[in-house]
Order: sequence, then structure tokens, then C-alpha cells
Amino acid sequence: MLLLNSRDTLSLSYGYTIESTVLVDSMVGARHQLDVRAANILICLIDHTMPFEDLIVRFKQKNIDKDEALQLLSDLNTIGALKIKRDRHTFIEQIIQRVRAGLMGIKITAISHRSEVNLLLITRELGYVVVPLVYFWILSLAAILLAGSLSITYYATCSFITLVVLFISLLGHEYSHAIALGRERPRSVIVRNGWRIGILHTPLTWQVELLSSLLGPIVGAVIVLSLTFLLGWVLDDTIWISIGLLFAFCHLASLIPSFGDGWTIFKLLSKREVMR
Amino acid sequence: MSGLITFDSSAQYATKEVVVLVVAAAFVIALAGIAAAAYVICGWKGAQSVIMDFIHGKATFVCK
Repeated sequence: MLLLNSRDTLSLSYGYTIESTVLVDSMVGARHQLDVRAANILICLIDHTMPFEDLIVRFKQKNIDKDEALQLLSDLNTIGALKIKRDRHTFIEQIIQRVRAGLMGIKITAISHRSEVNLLLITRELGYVVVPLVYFWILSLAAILLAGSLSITYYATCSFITLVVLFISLLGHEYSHAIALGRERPRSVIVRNGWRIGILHTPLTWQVELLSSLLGPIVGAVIVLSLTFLLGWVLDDTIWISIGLLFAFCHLASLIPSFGDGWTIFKLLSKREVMR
Repeated sequence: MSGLITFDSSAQYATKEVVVLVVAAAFVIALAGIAAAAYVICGWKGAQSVIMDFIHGKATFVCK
């Protein structure tokens, strides 16, 4: 279920446009067929934002009921076609709605965000993903301070540096995917969906696809190992080596077919097998 | 799926993504594990710092 409040604003995401009754995604070359009534409403969302409540009124005027409209918006969210901006004043309301939905066993769908691929925007999107970890870090600091199971200075220093190393390595992971795309980079987007962040791009040659998929986890692992080994040497503390190995393992875990990078490699290899 | 849209079945929406959740879980487990181990090994006073010795495969908790 997609949770939307009346004052949340919506528009079409980066890379999407509407041609007659077709929703065109220029980033992956997709053409999704829309109902003519839906197309007439969604066309207003190109380069313009509209509050959710106004959008629902427009759907009603076209004889589309709220449930059907919500289902359409939810479907559009799965392909990242909507740019949804939350109303900050309803933050508490959103938390209450989430808790209520959780108690009722309703799964809340995360909002998809798309943006251009450049270092600054990757940093911003990763920042959003890492925010819950910063909250956890602050909570853990308070817990350690109260419980006293570790020296607070030692814990605060180690955990903060770990968080920074984690962020830099994630940035390296994603940015190296983008660099490997080469000339196709302008036709790619960053997609953020809850805890997931990735690069979506137009179909490429298998060589570029393979290079891009391999480069992310390898660069992520190399960055994390270099930084932690350097920290271990400078601070003369071997705990950094264990942190480095743990995070490097996590980056390389992206190569397992269950995850994005591994899945791309798996698909490429299966395709080549079929072509033989 | 809503009847108001028919997805293009040929479109590929698989992204090259970093598994932030896995890395985040590692971060949480590493911090929580060290803090909990300090209690188990050093008792209620806790530890001052932790020294990892990979050559001999052991971790030393310097108790307060």
C-alpha cells in the first residue's frame, strides 16, 4: 500500500513523458500503455506538481474512483514514474499511519525516487538512505552511555569513523557503476527505494554491462579495505581490519544473484549460454 | 495491477544496486556485538577498548 497524504505533491519523474496515451520512459526505452482518462490527468504532471487531494478530484471528474486511482499511483511508483514530495507538516501523522498499518499487517510500499546520475546527487540520495543508520548510531551512543559496557569515547570515535567509511565505500560502489557506463551515463538514473539504491540505465553491450556490474562491488570493497587498513595503521588498532573485512564481504555479497549486481551478471551469463 | 495501465513487458527495470540493508545490518551487528561481548567478558563495568589479533585469531577486551 502506498501511503499518501492530501498535501503531498506529485509530478512525473525524471526521464518520463507522455505521448498521446503512452507513458514513455526514455531511460530504459519503455512504452507503457495508459487508459485515455488516466493519460489526460497524468499529462498535467509533466513539469508540474499537483497536491494529492487535487489529483484525486481530477480522477473523480473522469469517473475513476479513489481505489482505482490509488492502485494506478501505486503501479506508477513501482516503475519510479512519480516524483512524490512529502508534506513535512504531516510527519507525525505519517508515523501514526505507518504504525497503524503495521499493527494491521498492511505492508507500506516505499516511495521511489529518481534523479540524474552525478556525484553530488548520488551523495544526496545515499545520504537519505543512511539517515536511519545515523538515528541508530545516536541511539546506540545513548545506550552505551547509560549501560557503560564500553568506553564512550572509544565507542563514539570507532562507530563514527565506521559510519563515515561505510558512506564513502557505498558512494564509491555506486559512482563506479556510473563511471563504467561511459557515454551512456546521460541516459541513466539513480533510483532510490527505501533501503535500496541503484543505477538504472538504457540497455548496453554485454561487455559494458559486465564491467559496470563488477566494478561497483570491487571498488566498494577496495575502498573499504584501503581506508580501514590505513586507519588500523595510523591508530594502531586492529579492530579496523575486522571492520574492513566485514564491510568488504558485504560489498562483494552484491555479486550473489539474489542482488542487483549479481543478478545482472547471472542474466548476462545465461544469455550468452543461450546464444551459444 | 490497475486496469488503467499496461506495462511494457519488454522493459528491464533491474537496477545495479548496492545492498545498503546488508551493509547496514553488518554495521549494527558489529557495534552491538562488540558492546554485548564487552559485558559478557568484563562484567557490568564493561571494557575500555578492544584489540583484535588476527595472527593468533583472538580478540582482547581491555576491561575498565
